[in-house]
Amino acid sequence: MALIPKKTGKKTRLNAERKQLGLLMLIKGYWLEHLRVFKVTVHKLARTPLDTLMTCAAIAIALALPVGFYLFLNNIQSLGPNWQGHAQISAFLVKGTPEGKAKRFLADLKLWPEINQIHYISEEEALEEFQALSGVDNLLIDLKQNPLPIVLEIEPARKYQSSESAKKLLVKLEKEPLVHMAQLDLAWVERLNVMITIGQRIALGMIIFLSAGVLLVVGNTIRLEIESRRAEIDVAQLVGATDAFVRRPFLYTGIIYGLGGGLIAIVILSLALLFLSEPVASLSSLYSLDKSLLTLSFSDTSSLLFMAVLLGFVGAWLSVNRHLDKLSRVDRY
Amino acid sequence: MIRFDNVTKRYSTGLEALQNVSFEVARQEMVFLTGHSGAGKSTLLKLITLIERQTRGRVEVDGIDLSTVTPRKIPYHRREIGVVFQNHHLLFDRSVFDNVALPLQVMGYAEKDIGKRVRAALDKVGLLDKEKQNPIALSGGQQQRVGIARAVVHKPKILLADEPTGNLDDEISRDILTLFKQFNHVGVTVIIATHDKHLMEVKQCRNIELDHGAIVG
Repeated sequence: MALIPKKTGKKTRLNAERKQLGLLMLIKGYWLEHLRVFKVTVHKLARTPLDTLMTCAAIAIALALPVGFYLFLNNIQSLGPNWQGHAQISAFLVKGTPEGKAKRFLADLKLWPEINQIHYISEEEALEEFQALSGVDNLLIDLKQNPLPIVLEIEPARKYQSSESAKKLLVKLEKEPLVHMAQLDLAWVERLNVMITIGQRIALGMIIFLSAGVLLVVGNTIRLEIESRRAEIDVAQLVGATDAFVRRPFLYTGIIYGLGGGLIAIVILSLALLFLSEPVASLSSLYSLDKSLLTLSFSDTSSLLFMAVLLGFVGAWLSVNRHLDKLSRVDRY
Repeated sequence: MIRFDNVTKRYSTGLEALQNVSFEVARQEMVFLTGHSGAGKSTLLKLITLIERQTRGRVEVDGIDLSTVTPRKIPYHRREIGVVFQNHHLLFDRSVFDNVALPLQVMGYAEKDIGKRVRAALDKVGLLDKEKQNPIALSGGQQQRVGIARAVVHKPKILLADEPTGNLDDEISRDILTLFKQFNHVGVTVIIATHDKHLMEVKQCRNIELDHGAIVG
C-alpha cells in the first residue's frame, strides 16, 4: 500500500478513502476505540498496582464508613413494621374482674375487626412474670394479696397497625366498662423512628461530605496523571485529537478508580458484617426477629458500586476539564 | 493552498511577531520559509495549524478562511496537516510504531488499517526494522525520520516542518530534505521553516524570507 497517493487522481482517491470511513465504520470504530482506551487504561493502572490500590482504598474507606452506617440504620428501620406487629395494646381489666367475665369479654373482643390476636394473662401469670423479671421472690408473702389485674395483650389487625388507627382502637377499648386502663406500646417505636431519622440525616451528611472527599481524591490523582502525560496530550492535540479523545483515557481512569474503590468498599462492609454477625444474631433472637439485623442486599451493593463509579467519573471529568482549558491554549511547539 | 492576506500577529506581551504578511503557496508547491531566529517563522506555522490566531488579516488554507474554524473544529482542521518539529516531539513511553500510529488513533482508524499505514510510513522513511524499538534508542536523524513518518502517516494535504534539520549534520539533513521532496512529488504541499544554510544551498524551490515579522524576499 502506497503511503502517498499517486499524483494522478490523488483527490478522488483521497475522497474515496474518506468515504470508506462511513457511518457504520465510525460507529464500530467508536466502540473499538472505547474498548482500546479501556484496555490501555487498565494496563497502565496495573503497571503501578500499589499506587492504584492506594487510591482505590482511599475511595473505599471514604465510602464504606458512611454507607455502612446508613445501611445499618436502613436495616433497623426496615424492621419497623415487624416491631409494629409486636406493638400491642395492653388492656388492664378492672381489678377483681372474675375470670369467667373476663373470658367472655375476650371472646367478644375477638370478633372486633380491628383485633388480630389477644393474649390472655391471668393475675397469677402476671405475678409470675413480674417476679421472674424483677427478681423479687415471694412478693405475695409480703403483699398478702396479688395486686396485679388481668391483662389482655391485644395485637391490632394488620390494617389497624398504623399509629393513628391503633390510637382509635385504644380509645374504643378504654370506653369498655371492664377495661380499667389501656396502653399503646407505640411510643417507643416512634421514638426509635425519630432517632433513626436523625441518624440517617447524619449518615447522609457524611455520605455527601465524604463523596466530596472522593471527588477530590480522584481529581487530584487525575491531575497528577495529566501532568505526567502532558507531552502526550500536546502531541495528540497537535495531530488533531478532539477534546473527547484527550479526555477519554482519564475518564476511564476515574471510572476504574471508582469501580475498584466500590469493590473494596463492598469487601470492607462484608467483612464488617461477618465480624458483627454473631452478636447481631443474638440481638435478633433477643428481640425474636426472624430477620437478621444486618444484610448487604444486591441492590445495596449495586447502588454502592454505581455511586462509586459515578464519583470516579465526575471527579475525573472535573479535573480533566479544568486542565483541558489550560492545555488547549498550547503555545508549546 | 495557503494564503496570507495582510496578516499581523501581536502577542499579549506586545511583541509583533508578524506584520502585514501576505503570500501564497500553491497546491503541491514546496517552499522554504527562512529568516533569523525570532523572525516569525514559527508564529506563521502556528497560524496555519491554529495553535495561534492572527490579530489582523486573513489566513486561508485549502480555500477555508481559518477565522471560520471554531475551536470545536480545530482538531479536524489539523488532521489535514502534518507537522514535523525541530525536537521531533516523540513520546519515549512507547515504541516507534505507537508513536507513528498516534495520528491514526486520534482519527479513529481501525487497528488493522493502522498497522498497514504505519508500516508503509516507516518503510518510506527507511525505519521499518525499528518499529518495535523505543525512539530513545535511535540516533537524532532516525528520531527525526520517525517524526516525519508520524507527520505523513495520515496522508495530509499539507506538510509543515519547523527547523526539521536543526540538530542534524549536513548529510542527514540532505537525506531529510530528499524525503520532503519525495512527498512533494506525490502531491503534498510542503513548507519548511529553516535557517539552515546548507538546506538553502540545495534548494530548487521558492523561498519566503522573513525579517522581524515582515516578508523581505
